[in-house]
Amino acid sequence: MAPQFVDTQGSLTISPELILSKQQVQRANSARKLHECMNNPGDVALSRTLMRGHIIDSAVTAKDIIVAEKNTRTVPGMRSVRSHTTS
Amino acid sequence: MSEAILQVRGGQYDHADEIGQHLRCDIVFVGGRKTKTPFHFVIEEKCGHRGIEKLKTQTAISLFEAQMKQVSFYRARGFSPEKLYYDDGANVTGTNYMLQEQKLILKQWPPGQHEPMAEANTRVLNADMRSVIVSLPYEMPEALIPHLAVDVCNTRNAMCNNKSGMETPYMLVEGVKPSAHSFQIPFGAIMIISSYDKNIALSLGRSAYGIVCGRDFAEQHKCSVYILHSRTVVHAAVIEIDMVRQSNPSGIIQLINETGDTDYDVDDLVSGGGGETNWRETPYGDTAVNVIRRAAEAHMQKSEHRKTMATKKK
Repeated sequence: MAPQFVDTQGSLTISPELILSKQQVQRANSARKLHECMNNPGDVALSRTLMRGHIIDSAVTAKDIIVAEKNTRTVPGMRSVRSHTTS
Repeated sequence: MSEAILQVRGGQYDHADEIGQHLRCDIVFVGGRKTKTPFHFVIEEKCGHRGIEKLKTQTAISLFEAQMKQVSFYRARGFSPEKLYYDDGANVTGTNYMLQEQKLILKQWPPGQHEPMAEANTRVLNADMRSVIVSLPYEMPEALIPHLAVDVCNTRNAMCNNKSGMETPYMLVEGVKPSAHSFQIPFGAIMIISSYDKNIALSLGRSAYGIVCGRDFAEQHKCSVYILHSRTVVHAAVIEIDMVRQSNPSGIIQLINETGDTDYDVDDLVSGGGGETNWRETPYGDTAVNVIRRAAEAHMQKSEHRKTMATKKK
């Protein structure tokens, strides 16, 4: 059984390395890289762009963005910078 | 309801039915604290496609030149612009007759009001530029700010927004999709590129350090690179292997931090015509050191004035 721990707020969290496969972690990392290369857009806008295949030859999918958002580390301060922008 | 709201918002709103029909324009000033360059910033109303063009001067002639570049851009892609929306301004009004000759209608907001779509997108542009600058591992040179503004606009065009829905403005206007190869190298990446500058070639060999300051969507692996030694921008073919990946702080990062002119405020990179930075009153910014420096300067001026007055009395 995968090791689990309880955080300070009492919810049960599992380390992402234990619940995700190696391929999923790699894809999530490449999604974060694409996110950086596109000047840090909103996750919704980037997911929508990838969902319709508006970037040719990209192996990253909208699902990878969601996995990356939930399970990988984000750049500190980036959320507060982007929070007041639209689209 | 106030009179101003009735004057402006009253009547039927004429919204664009086709792409390129209505262009929302503004003159924005992009740059650091001391020098801001005027740019002609255009938002397409239907899909939110952005265009930014450097203005030589703020006169009506150079403004008309920038207007016609944008209009020609849309006309070349099969669209027909009809109306251009602007703030109130004498230089904009000066282009009215020239635009009429081109069968374009100039619409200006009344005095004291700003073009709302252009103003909102100016703030988004500033926020985007800020997010890029703060995520860089070094202090970006001031010379790259105009390039960043252009790159941010181009990258935004390749993203879906609320107006374009499930399409991107780039796809709607150009009819093609950008390749993922264009997004393999981020803005501000430090590269080693082959230089064709004779001086660099003699002193450093045929390769030099550079900073990526623009991506070309039309051609794969083509980027604009700012060469650090000659401080020039070249259009070069670069690939991901050329990127310098060193632990922070590395020697090249220290070099950029030392040589780069970084007199800019990340919250005030872009300003509209009305809200220009009043840098003359605060020439050094509002840090504690600068406040002390200004106070010392004022004290010195006062003491010199007193000395001259005293010598005159004698």
